[in-house]
Amino acid sequence: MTRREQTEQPGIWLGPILAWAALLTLLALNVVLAGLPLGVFKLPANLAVAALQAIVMGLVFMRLNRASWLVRLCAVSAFLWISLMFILAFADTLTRV
Amino acid sequence: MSEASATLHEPFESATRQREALTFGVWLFLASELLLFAGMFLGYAVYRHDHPSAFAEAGRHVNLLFGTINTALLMTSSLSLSVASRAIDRDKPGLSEIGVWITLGLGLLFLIVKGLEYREDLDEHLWPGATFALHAPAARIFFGFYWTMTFVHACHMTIGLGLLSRLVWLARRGRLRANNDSVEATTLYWHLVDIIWALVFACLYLVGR
Repeated sequence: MTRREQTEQPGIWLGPILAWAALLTLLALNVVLAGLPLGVFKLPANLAVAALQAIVMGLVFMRLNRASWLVRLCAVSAFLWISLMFILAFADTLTRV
Repeated sequence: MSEASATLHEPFESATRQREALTFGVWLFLASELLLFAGMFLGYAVYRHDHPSAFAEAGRHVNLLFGTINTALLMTSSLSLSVASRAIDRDKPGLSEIGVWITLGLGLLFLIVKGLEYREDLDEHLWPGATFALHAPAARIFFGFYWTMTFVHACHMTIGLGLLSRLVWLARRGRLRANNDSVEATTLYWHLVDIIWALVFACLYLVGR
């Protein structure tokens, strides 16, 4: 590895520590949200915070922000198939009479 | 990239190409793992939609403190393994080994806390069997998902601990730098198991509060 490549690489500590702080903050936020009287908005709020945690872990810890397009395509396609599965299943459940 | 210090395997002619193939292969495997858990999450979502009050009542019996502690433990273990992975790519095997040891310890701690929680659940008759404590019929479904999802997740944690133990074994023999691709593969697997836990926590521990 050349000296230039070394300086271009991200630091060992900064990214992971910032991500970890964000994850613990989001965890605290999710627990607080769960105790609030949000009614029907509670579940979407909890899931949105969990999704944010997943995005932080995927981008920083799993380094999708620096991955090749092939790897990103593989990760995105997994969520695409899962989304289709949920949409098709709930298209039945929500429209049943 | 510092994969130059990795051992090259057939048919790769460069460490960069080898790393690219490894990352892609691991992500393909992780995508199949996501589909496995997605099936459980879909079943949970449909039943929760059909039985909202029973799920809320059942969810209040899950121990939020244990779940929150375990979530924090896993997120901290993700930090230590992420540092380990970056350290080995910067030719710092000593720091990488420390990161792997910390991750291994936090993973074991997670399983111990989970065991304590299971014991409390069994004491409170939350296993959906003949002596089940709750009256709403759909509460059994909630706890069916609770036991299945947390146990399958714990199995994945155990496999992850096995992979981490292998990294420790390699590090003790001074072979971690030559196997930095193994560190990357283990890291990706461990982080995915953590992501799944974040979703399990939101679905099972925060409902009905």
